[in-house]
Amino acid sequence: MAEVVTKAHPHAQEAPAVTPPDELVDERLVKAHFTASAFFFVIAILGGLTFSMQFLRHYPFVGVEWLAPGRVRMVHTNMVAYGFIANAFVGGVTYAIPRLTGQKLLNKTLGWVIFWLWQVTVVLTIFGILAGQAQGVEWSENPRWVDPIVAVAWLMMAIQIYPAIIRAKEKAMYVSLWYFTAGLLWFGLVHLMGSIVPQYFIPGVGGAAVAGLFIHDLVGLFVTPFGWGLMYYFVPLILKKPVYSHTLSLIGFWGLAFFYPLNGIHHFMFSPIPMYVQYGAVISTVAVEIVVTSVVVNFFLTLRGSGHYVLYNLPIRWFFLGMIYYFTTCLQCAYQVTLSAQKIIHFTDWVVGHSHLVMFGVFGLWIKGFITHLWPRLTKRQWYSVRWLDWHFWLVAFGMFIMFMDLTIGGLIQGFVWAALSPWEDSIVWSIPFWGVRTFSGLMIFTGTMMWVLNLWLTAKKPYADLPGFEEVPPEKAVKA
Amino acid sequence: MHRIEKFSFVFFGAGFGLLFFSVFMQAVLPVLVLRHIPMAHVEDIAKNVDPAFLDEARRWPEQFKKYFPDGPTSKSYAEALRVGRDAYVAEACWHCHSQFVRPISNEDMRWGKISYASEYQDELQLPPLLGTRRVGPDLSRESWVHSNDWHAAHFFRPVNVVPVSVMPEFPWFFDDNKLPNKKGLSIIAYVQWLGSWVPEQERVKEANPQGDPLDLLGITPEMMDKAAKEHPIKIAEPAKADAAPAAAVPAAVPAAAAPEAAPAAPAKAETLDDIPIKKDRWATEDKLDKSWVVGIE
Repeated sequence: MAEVVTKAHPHAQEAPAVTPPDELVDERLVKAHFTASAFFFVIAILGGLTFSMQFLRHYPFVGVEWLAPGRVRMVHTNMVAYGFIANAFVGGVTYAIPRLTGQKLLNKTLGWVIFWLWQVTVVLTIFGILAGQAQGVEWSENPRWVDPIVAVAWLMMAIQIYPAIIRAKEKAMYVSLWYFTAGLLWFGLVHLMGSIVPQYFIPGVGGAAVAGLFIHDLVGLFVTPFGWGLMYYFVPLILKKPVYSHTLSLIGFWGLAFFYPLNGIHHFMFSPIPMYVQYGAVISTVAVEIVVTSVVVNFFLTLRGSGHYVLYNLPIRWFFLGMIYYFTTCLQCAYQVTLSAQKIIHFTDWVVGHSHLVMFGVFGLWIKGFITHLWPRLTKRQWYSVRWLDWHFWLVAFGMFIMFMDLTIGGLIQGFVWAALSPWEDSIVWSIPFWGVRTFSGLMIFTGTMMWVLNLWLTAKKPYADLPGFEEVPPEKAVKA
Repeated sequence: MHRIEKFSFVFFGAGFGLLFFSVFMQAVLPVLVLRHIPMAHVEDIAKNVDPAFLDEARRWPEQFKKYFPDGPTSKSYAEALRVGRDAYVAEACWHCHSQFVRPISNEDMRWGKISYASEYQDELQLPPLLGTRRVGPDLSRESWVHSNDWHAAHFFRPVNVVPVSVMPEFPWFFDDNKLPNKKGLSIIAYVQWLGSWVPEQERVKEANPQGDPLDLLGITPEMMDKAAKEHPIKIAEPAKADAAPAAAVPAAVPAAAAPEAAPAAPAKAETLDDIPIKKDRWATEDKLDKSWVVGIE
């Protein structure tokens, strides 16, 4: 398999093995999902960047109702979750599941129906929120009338992928397939619960318990399983070696399934939700950190002996950095969930830093990893610019690091200023420098992202396929015999 | 090892089983605990029309008549609360303001009574607006902290009222004449309603110079003077231990002891006016009242 080689490497002299044409995977569909993912990612970052300008009192669209900062903020979070991450994951499993099971997904047309239905959902979300129809459920601010469409898309996705897994050629499933199986079911149930129960049935504190469960399960039972599943698929594939420990991956999966859903209330500590549930959330959050460590350990031990891949192979570098951020953020989570830490950090920018580190610093980077790996194979073209890929990596790596450190420190300052009973305005004044640095780091991430998106486009636009093994030579350039 | 790696086991065991277990533990159980607190409907809440809503009708009569032709009735108050809450959700106010006073970090000193379960059991907390981030202050005790015209100015352009504010402007809550339209009237009524149900809510915040709550209550300065004359505040006898701390003051600040001794014990202090102001208070640090200093709980 052709690797993305960024420096002269001893193995680069060998002729890479050619992948035979793949009949299992609808590669056009995978490419479409990745394209949509990149497109909505740009919109998400633009939304985040503009919103951050409001905190510096330089909002570019002052007084325009359709681009009100609050609405743009909700567009930002929903584009990240449903535009960027969901599209990338669906593309990823559309590639991975047929190859893991040896079976095609159920129906090619259904795959495209799901694709278009999902993009319609995302676009309706943008316009609905900007029009002032947002729903008051965090991470599901898409309008109420969009939620049924999401449920339909999910049902179609289940019909599309479960038959392939059930009919898999090997009855004992690889760990990625457990994650995809459970993750898809979890997403459907969690989305139904989150969009219906707090909105129509249970108000107040009970509703907050369900809302907290929804927020957390969206990350832990949708984003995490698909992310882990895809990581467990692509990393051994690229490294050409098996995962270090199958047993450890099993422990990781069942630990996630048991502990992760019990964390939900940690979004509302010290609230009137019954204390035994809150204590349970603390204990299970710390327990989940132990489970996460199993995944991190598995990754690093798989990587042991192949460390040079981090230098020369960009997808592995993305996974590597994502893993470092992952261990950091989950360790941070185990600490910040404790009631003592919650006294200061709840409601502050610390939490915003944490959520960016998770959604972007971990899963965003992993997504870039496997899209970077797959894009040449899907387009049958070598990268337009490998240097731009490097630039993208370093701008994003540093941008994310700066944003995380900045918001964590800013959050601590806010928390202590509030607890000291200083006038509220003090916390605003003290936060402004941190918000400035945040906007700067956002600009770094935006620049890197635009380089990547441009690279994706320019690669795909190349007139002739030039991936080794798939070269197309135009007739006029053919060597005359 | 094989069975737990098979599709059906993963699907039913992790997929359904463990998820429903967690939903039971974290959603069903708390709801069962809270089941005896009935959910209040907006119409019931609106039966007590908050004086802030009446003040809106008095303050902006043409606007009010235009958007609530029935006047400040219970029915129009219910509508205002609904429209106001919907605007609060649509503009993502809940992403920068919380509605949840925690029992720690001195929040009760800053805002008032700590949040309790039954205050959230109403239709306007469906879905709940406890919030997960504070850029601006908590709003669950916001009722009557500021007057209606403060809110109108603040929604129109927050920096005019709070110069360091990063809150966005909401000109679409106002008509061309810069007076609140239906959304504006409604969201002000909604914010003024938040916390009005708390019995211990201090309606008159002496430390807050920004509101005019006395005006809202219909109390005039003449009424205040008359009440002060008719009902002077009685002071208890000054404690005899006052003389002892004066003697304990170190010789390094002898000047402080002299004025201290002079007004130490007037014959009988009947009202606040009888007690002279001690101008040198800060010189005697060991007598400084430190009861206001609180640590983080």
